[in-house]
Amino acid sequence: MKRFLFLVALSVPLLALTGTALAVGPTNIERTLPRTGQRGTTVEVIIQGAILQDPKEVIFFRPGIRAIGIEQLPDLKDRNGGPIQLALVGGAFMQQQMRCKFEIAPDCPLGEHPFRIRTATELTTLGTFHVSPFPCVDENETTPYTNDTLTTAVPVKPNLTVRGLMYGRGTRGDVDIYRVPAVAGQQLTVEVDSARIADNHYGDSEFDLAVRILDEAGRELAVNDDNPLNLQDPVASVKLPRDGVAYVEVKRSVYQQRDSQYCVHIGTFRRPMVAFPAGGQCGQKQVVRLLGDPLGEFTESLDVPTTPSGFDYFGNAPSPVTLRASSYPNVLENPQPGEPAATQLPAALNGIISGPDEVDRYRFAAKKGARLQFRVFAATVGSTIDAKIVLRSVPADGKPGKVILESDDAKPTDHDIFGTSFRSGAGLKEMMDPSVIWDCAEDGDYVLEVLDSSGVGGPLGVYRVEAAPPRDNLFFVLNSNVFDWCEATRTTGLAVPQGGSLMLTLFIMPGQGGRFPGEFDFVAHGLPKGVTLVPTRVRGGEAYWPVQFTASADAPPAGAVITLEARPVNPAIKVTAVCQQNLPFINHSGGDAWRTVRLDRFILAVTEPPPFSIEFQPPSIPLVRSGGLAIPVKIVRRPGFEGAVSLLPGWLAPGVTASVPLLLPAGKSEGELRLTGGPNAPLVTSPFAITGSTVRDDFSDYVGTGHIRVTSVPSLLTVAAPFVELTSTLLSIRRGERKKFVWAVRHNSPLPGPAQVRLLGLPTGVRIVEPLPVLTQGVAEIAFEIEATDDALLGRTGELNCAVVINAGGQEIEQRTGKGALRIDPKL
Amino acid sequence: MLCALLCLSLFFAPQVGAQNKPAKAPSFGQDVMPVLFRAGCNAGPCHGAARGKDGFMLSLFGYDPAGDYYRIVEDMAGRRINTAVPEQSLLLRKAIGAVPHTGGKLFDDKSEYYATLRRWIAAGAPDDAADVPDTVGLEVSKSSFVFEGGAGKDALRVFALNSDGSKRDVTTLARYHSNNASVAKIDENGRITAGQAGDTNLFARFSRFSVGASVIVLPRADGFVWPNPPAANYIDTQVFDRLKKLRIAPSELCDDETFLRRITIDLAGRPPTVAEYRAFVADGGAAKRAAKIDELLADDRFADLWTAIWAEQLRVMGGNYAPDATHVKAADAFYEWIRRQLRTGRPLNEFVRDMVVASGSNLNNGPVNLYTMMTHSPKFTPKAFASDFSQVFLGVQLQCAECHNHPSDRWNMDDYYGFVSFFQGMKRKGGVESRETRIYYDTAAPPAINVRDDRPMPAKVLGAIEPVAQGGDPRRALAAWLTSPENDMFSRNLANRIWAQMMGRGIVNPVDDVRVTNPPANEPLLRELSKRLVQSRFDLRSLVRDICNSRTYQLSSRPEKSNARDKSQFSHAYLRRLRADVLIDSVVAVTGVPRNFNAFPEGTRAIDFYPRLTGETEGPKFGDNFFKTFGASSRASISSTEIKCAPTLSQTLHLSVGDTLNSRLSAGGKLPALVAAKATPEEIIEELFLLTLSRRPTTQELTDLRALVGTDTKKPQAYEDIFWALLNSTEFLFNH
Repeated sequence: MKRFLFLVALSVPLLALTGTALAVGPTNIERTLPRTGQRGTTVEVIIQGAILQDPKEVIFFRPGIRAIGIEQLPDLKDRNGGPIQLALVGGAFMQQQMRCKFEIAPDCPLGEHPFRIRTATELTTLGTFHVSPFPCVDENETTPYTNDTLTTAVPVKPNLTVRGLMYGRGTRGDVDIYRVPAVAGQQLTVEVDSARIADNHYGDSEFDLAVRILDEAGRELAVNDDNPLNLQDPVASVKLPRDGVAYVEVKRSVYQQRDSQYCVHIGTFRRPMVAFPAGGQCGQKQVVRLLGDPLGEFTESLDVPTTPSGFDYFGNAPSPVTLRASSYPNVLENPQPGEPAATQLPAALNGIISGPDEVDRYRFAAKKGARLQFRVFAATVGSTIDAKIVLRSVPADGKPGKVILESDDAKPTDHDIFGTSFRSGAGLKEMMDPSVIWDCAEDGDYVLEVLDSSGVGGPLGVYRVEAAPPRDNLFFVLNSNVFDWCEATRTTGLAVPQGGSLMLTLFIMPGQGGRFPGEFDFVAHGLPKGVTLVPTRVRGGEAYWPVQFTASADAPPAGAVITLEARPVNPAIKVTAVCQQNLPFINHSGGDAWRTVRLDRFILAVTEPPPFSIEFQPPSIPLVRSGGLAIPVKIVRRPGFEGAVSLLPGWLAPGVTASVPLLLPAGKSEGELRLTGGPNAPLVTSPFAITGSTVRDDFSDYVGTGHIRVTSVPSLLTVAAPFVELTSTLLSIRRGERKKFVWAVRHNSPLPGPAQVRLLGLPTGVRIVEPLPVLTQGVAEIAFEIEATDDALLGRTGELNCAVVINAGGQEIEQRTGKGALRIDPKL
Repeated sequence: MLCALLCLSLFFAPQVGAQNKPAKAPSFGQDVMPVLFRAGCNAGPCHGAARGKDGFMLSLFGYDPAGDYYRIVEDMAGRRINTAVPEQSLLLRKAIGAVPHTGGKLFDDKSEYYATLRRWIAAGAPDDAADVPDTVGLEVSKSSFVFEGGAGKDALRVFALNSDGSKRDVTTLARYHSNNASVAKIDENGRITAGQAGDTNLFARFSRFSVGASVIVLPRADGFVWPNPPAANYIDTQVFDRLKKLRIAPSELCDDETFLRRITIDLAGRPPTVAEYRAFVADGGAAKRAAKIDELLADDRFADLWTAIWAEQLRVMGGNYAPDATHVKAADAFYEWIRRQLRTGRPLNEFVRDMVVASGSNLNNGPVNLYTMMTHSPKFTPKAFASDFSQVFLGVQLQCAECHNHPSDRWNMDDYYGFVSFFQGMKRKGGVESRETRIYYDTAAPPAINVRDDRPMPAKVLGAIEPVAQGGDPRRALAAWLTSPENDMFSRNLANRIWAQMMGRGIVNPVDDVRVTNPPANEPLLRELSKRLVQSRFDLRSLVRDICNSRTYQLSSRPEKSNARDKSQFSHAYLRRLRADVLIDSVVAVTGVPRNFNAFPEGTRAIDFYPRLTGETEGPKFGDNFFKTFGASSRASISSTEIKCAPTLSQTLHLSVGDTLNSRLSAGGKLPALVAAKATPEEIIEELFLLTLSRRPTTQELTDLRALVGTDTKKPQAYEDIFWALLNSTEFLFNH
């Protein structure tokens, strides 16, 4: 017998990097270590990333944390002492790091605290830090797989938060087990923060953890992977059966070879999953039942906030149950199954779909012309159902009438969430909850039905429907759609240099049902000292509009949380402005945001003076439709600054384009920025300014991070109709012939000066015999002398037009007009 | 030919119970259509093809009489039927070969078939009046035939039962089929000729009905003595009863070594360890086999193996970034849910019911993935799903009835579309994250439409006349019917599949081709297994325990003289090549060297594996080439034929020169330690036999192999060769 042996030498490459997963996105805060701290304590934090030189200030969006003792640390090195070669999108490397201390106030709100860092010249992208009610310790599994069994479990005492690492670089899945003293009858609750503290550009399932609570013999007492309260972050709670020990096991739902951070809160706290009713009337006390806790439901009397919004109930847990504050009273479901509850709108309708076929009904009267918004909060508040609403008329016999509308799910914008691509849900529970506008077409009684479209129902099938006329809300969004909607300081970093100015574009969107069409003025609140908002009046109906902030030369470098208000020109109109940013912290395939951090305000920072300023003469002539405008631009370099500068309009009015940035290389300070007016560009006057950016060869200007940007003084740009329109008829010319090509001129508005006209699009073999015609005010026609050579292409060409070039006030405007045709015939 | 015609006329009897009535024009449905059927005009290869043949189309086997009437009489009026001169009708002239006809001459102008058609045409080719009865059933003159000594003749007569209560002899109008012509042939007039010893079934088909009769051809009784083996339980009673009737003696009981290996592989998906072997052999107790069965049934491995079996059947696969709701997380949720049901001993009907009625998230409601994994397609297609559903949970292949009444079973298009309607409302929508899809039933969805006549067909369970109650999610009614103890289609299907898994062949075989014309090899046995499954409240372990404790299961695979040719009556254990996953797990268990699988952590057993992919999950997918080579299901469909256990050349090459075995022989697994630990070559060789084959070597084997080792008794090379040979042996690769 002959046997063949194949010896395979296997080598397993060891990764040099340690620590947590990296975002590898176009951001400059890549790691915040640790990500969680206890309130009432001071935590030393190291922040690592790109372009973090000279950190000055950590600015939080919410009160409760103060950063002190900021210092820059030496750059990160790999094991050989070289730079960490982990490329981030945009071309830079994660190299810099800083250290500081976070002073967390005893009353600091629990949960996520977003922040930005002001460096000497920059306002970074977003970072987050989380606050726990419990003491925080590290897992400290320095050697992988050392706490993976009951016998090697890490002993912990509730109530505690463990900052763990789900090790993912081995050939088997990591399991982290913690041993907890058990007291019979006592509650043991486990909550994990994993997806909620993740920050990864392309993520899949590495953040998706599962927990189990085991008894002393390893038997399962409770298990959870996903849940309606915290989605992928598991929650498990149990009433312990015996004295002794219990175990908490944390592991991935699905094996993945990636590291990821997590925090596991292990405690004796109550863990309700949803409240009923899930809200109350603003400014009042509301008694709610907290449902879903393994020790049974309990009630709390809550102070409902004074303004309509979502609000949280934490109890003694690390994460909240969400409720709603509404400006109208609650209506509860009719306890008689199937019978409608008499309802006076506006109201918040509250019920529980407790079984698969249950339909709750609310009967109300409406007048023709009434406009109502039915906005459901079910999944949003942690309910287990997939709520659907059906609106029916009520005919004379009182039975359910025809269906007038039905709605199951919603777009993010229906729930006032704007600014990021949410193609597949993005962790937005709101998308499961319908929200619709109904215009009543007929006086009468109507019934709103609420049911579970998944046909399941259950004791936690809570819903709340806010049924009221829609409000006029305007949402201001700093768009971040530069790379798979990730954040980039080019579009979201409000860093205004001392003595300089910065213009960014706001996305303006009315909330669902909003009908505010009018003009308004921006008003900024909370600006740092020395910073002003350039006043502009926003045209009604515009989806994009610039905001420009200017910092005086003596404005102290500082950051501040700001908001913008919309003040309608018509003071009788009331509009609620909402500032919003949704920044993806986990993207799935194709830039599909999975988890976003939502902000309701912006941060603006005053930074060091810019290395250059921009000068240009405001356009004295309008940009015309189908025309171009060349604007001479000059930069004034600060002594010592010789770098290249890239220039673009700070904002482009609708229909106006600037095809490429004007790049002024080192040593050059002047150039021309060319604008083009589209054929349908609105004929309006809009704000105009030019923004310049320093240029790096290691990090794309596209992303913006690591660049200093400054905007010129504000100006205006007008788009006008063409000065003239030229028309012609088909001209035939034989090879070897010379003819006049005549164009009729129609004058729309006075020419600012004589214009030279060029004929464009001539076929090969046809040339213009100079001189070119000059167009002046009042001329009725012009003619080009053209000559066809013996080689001229035979046949018809119909794509001829004219370029009318006007010089006025040192600026050149070019207008394209006309559509002519020419036929080349053979010689006779 | 004359003789044949004479015989035909003899068989062509008038209607029973309809005698002495005045002669009427032949009925289109009762007389003309049967002639077209009998002559093969509306068969698939002829005018019954989907697009007809040579410009003339009939519905397949006459499922659409109204359409056929139109096409014969009204379409191209005057071409096929000539009522003025019936003999000139193309329908007749083609049939008797008077004009060129692709189908050739079917009968002549003297036949009754000709006469029937002619009389009908002469009567004006009338369509049936409302009072013409419909055929509502079929009977045969005798349901079983026994031929002695491998020879004999008999005849089958066939009667149609009409809706007016009359009964009619249609022997000359029916068509016949034998499932095994070498055992019994049946000719076009129902005459049976016995062949070689064995058993089979004969079928007659008329109208939309098929009816069968069983045939046993006994071998010569010379020297046959029924050994009268003891019956351990009801299974043996039924099996032995059948064997006795067939004059087949069962083999002897297998020895303890064989039993231990067989039962451990079947229940735990691995070979027994050496320690288990020694303990079992040393145990002299009479009940040790039953105890071992109980021990293995109580182990989670049993549930894990059945999880793999179900997951393969239900096409569980997952892909990162999978676009069709089949992300790895969804697959895992489903897989782990199945495992949990099986580990906790969930009654199988409840297990199925949970899947059927499931709604919600594919990520956190595992059973809902019945509606993602069984399709793996961007769009949920109710028709395709209904067919797969019926095949998996009832063993019935319905798909033929999408376009025409089932040609070899009882299901018609109304049955099909009524069943499809249970899934018409199944919808998918996005969830709250990229991986998630929500599955729900849209109660506003209209029922399926019967494509034959555009009638909406409300949801109706198979075999029912009335649809289920309308309104709401009809899947609840479907689940209630499907999993009811009264629904023996379901319990028989489960029992048959469990039996097939344990015995290597279904009583109905293939297990997912249950139809009138594919009857069980042992109907009383299947009926009893089904009954016991129901009585145990659909407890998988209970039925498996019964099977394993039966003498039938424990028979030797060594055939006796009388049962050597038996392949369907379980007279001896059938050789079964190990499932691909059990094989690789066995190799790992025996060698002690792990085998890793893509996207699974180290140490994962093959029976815990399902394909984890990148991107879409539409099949065929194996997830690992080993599974492809060794015939695991590609999961491209739910068909039982996806799993192939036949040996192939590539399997032989893979094992002999591939890295599955070779890389494990010299690696740091069990072999080096074994060589080091044992004192003598004989001990090492014996240990290798126990490891791989769960038996001691014979004296001859030991002598031969000892000689191979030579004088350097600690040199591993020779032992690696022996180990390699054992692992490549049929005895290792098969469960026997």
